[in-house]
Amino acid sequence: MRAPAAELRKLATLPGVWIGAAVGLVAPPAITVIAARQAASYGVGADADDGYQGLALMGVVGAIVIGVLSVSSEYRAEDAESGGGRPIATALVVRPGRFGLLAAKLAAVGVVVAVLAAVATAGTLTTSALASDVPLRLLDSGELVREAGVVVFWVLTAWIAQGITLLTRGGVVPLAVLIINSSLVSVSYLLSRVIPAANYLPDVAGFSMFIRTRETTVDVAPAAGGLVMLLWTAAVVAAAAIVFHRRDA
Amino acid sequence: MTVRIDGTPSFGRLLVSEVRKLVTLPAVWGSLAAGVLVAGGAAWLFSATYRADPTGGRDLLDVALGAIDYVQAGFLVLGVLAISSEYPGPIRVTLTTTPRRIPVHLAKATALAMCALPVALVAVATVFAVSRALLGGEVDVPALGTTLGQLASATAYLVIVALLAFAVATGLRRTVPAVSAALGYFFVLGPLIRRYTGLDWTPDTAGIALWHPGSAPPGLEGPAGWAVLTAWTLGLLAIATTAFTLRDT
Repeated sequence: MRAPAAELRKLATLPGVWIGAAVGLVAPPAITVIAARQAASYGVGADADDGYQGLALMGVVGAIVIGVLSVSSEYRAEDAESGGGRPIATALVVRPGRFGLLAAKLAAVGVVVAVLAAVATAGTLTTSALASDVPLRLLDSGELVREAGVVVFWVLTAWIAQGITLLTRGGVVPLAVLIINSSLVSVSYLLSRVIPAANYLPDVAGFSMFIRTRETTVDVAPAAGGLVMLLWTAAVVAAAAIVFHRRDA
Repeated sequence: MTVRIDGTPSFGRLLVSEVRKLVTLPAVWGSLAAGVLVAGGAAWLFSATYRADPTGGRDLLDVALGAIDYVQAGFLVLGVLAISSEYPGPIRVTLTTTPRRIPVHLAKATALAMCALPVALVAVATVFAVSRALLGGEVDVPALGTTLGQLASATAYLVIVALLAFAVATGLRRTVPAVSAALGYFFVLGPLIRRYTGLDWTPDTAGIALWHPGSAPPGLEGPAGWAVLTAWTLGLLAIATTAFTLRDT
């Protein structure tokens, strides 16, 4: 258990992780309140997805940032004055097993993002209920399944982010790909309207775990969507593990 | 080498060296190649989406230039790299050889614009050519003058957002935080602000006038949109240059 604990401590000392966490916690409820006010001013009733949209599109950026930073921070060259080395070298010297290090990183990010997602979901849905006339049903069994879906979605997204970052050894590419795809008009969602198979891309499939009112060209059941996203995550992480195992660092 | 009497190189010389630094960065070529590839892919995606669900009253430029929304990502990343690649180490060398803060920063901004402009032209031309090839007979094609004007305006927009990202990255000095901030704003926060609040004076919303005139918010069409985006860019550049002058590195 010392390796995951060490990775947790590394995460806690990265300022960007705290900023990511703040984005994940604050942005979805804020957007929900603004959306509810706008809906009220147009005289539109509450939407079954109120709160969930903000969690899926905006809050998940926090999970992406945490996932990317947990790996990219290892590959950032230090100041020339402190030797210009990369932290990954130190990490592998003190703990030589590649798979063990990767597992510890996945575990640490998984725990942090799961807790973050749970708190953000509870906060956002509570705010959503306070801001509109929807009753608060956090603990209804149907809602609990959707809330769990958000937690799974965030954790799997963070793991995909870690996997891609480990492959690229830098934060720019995974951030660009994943943040752009979390935008209001996400690439994969647009693609799914032209090519039905794109409904099985990780994020579009993952949405089906908790988004209800979004139009889709193929209806994916919540459990199936979660499974599809899990398989994508496993594939990305496996590819990253193999590459990480075979190269110098 | 043109050297001034006090021993520092002239602005032209500075500009040459800044352009050379940019074009020798593999990441710069990567982001530019990504920008052009994304231009082709996004134009295909928007044309295909339009064909799947043709909504009346739209001409070829309306459909094609929607792709600029995604193409700008490459230029935002380019703007960040133009300054973040100097940190943490090389900036010391730069400022040792040219101990003049304001000329160095202005030369960097100018070099960035000079590198971004030709690629923006190629990207915008790609967007238009792909959409034209796919939708040529199915939608109205505006007159040549209108078309060239809008394509030129979209090209200018891409160069301006690169400069905006450059200003932000000067403040943050690190690649990953700056890319997160620039992409997170333009792809997640900005669109949400546009959708849920009445704020039209944000750089991204005002900038729509430049690349998608049909979607520009009322009051910010044409010159007003230009003025607001230019004011944001010059303002942020002024702050960035000031920070660059006041800080140690």
